[in-house]
Amino acid sequence: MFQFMKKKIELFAPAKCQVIPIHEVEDAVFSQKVVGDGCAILPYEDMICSPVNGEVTLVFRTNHAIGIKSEEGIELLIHIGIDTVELKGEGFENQVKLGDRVKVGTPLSKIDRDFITAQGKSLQTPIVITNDYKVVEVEKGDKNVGALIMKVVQNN
Amino acid sequence: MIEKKFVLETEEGLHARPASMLAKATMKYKCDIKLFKDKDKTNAYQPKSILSLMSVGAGKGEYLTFVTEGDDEGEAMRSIENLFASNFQG
Repeated sequence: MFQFMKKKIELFAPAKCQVIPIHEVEDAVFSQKVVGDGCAILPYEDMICSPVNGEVTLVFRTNHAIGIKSEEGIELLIHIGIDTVELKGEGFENQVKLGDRVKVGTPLSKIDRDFITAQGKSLQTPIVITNDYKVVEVEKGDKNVGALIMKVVQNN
Repeated sequence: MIEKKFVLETEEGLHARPASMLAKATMKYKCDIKLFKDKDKTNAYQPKSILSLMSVGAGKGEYLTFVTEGDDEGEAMRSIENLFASNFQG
């Protein structure tokens, strides 16, 4: 194969947040890793930034889900809040569009945490890898924006 | 080549759960699979990728056309049909 050794790809906190293991997420689609392996964050601030360097490959029509293909090849889904598809875009202000190049720390979405919480939605934000990578390390607990939160490696 | 059109009946549209189920079902097949939204044949989406499926932005009641092409195109189309028949409850 092309890779002689598996490189660990690092992902960084998209906001000041608490990092939660994926199996503790309140939505079974994520906790059972149906979408992919990863972790979740509980943001303590409104600006959600990119955890990787890469390109925006998805801005869901209701703005609460953003996809990024990292420069290493991981396909990342950042799903802001639980069941937030039901908010139909309210509470989310996109900072990027499809095809934008982003770096670690580039603002992706400005969210209204008070509004989302007032609508009865959890702010737990799963960050999962939807293609063939596995998580080898998650740094649990409180993190500052830009701190290491997760390491992943390619399968096979 | 097999081409079939389905109507999406999931409440949330082609969101994380149905997209993940479709990607997992189609990834098993070697054949080339494409997805078109309604009649728009200019933009082909990749059913084997969750992010590509979610980027279709398909809501409830919208039509999706799948095209499978290759050795296992029949099996692949059947797995897609099964998901739509069960309305992604499986």
